[in-house]
Amino acid sequence: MATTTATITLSSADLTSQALSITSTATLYKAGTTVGLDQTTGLTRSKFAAAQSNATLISAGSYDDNTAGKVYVKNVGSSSDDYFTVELGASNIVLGRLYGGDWMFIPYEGEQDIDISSTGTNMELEYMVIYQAA
Amino acid sequence: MATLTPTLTLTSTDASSDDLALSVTDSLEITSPSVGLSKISVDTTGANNIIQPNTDGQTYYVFVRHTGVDASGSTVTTTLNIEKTGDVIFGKLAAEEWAWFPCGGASHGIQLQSSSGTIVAEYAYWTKG
Repeated sequence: MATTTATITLSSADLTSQALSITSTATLYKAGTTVGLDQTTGLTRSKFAAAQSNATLISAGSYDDNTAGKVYVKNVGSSSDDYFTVELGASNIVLGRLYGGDWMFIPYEGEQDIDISSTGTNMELEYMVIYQAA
Repeated sequence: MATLTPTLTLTSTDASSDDLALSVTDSLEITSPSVGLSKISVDTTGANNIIQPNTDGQTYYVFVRHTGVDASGSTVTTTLNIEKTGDVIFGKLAAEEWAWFPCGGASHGIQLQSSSGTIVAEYAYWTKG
């Protein structure tokens, strides 16, 4: 059984009068089990020569529905002006924006595409899906 | 302006033939408002559990964690939906799992919903400076 762990640390010395330090670790299991997720796309890097509009990044058709995958996406650029907009499903509901250096890590059921739009040329991102086989 | 540093570490020695050891960090400029680490007892109606209500053009960085217990403190294995307001689900957290994502720039906030009974969730959000 594969065992994959995801740890987040959130820290700040100056957000408030008390330093912030939050750490949380999760072992990534298949839905409803304590069996580890055993499939991954590997870390993939994509460069977009032109600005994108509602382009499919992660296709739900490649994954079983109602599963317990995880999605990691990072804007590997450094611009504080250009950003990727991450969108959900056929209606392209906006989740949020990833500016240069920003990353996200979310659960993924495999039921909706994850699309991206971008604001500039030659922008790059990297992503990975960790998921479960049927 | 304050700085928030989120760091992700993904590790596995057996998910593939090549060990997974991913570590990424970021440096985020943060402005007001922010909501520090908070707890909420989430029920089965998402609209009752809106944790990030703003629908302006700002970007917010959101942390959500399923604590693994219900409102009475009993262990639960039910899943915690993370949704855009309007009941647009985009993922489910199992007990002890967490999520980190940007939201905003559109007309939806973030809400949580229990798949059954109650689930105590932790959350926080910060506004991009």
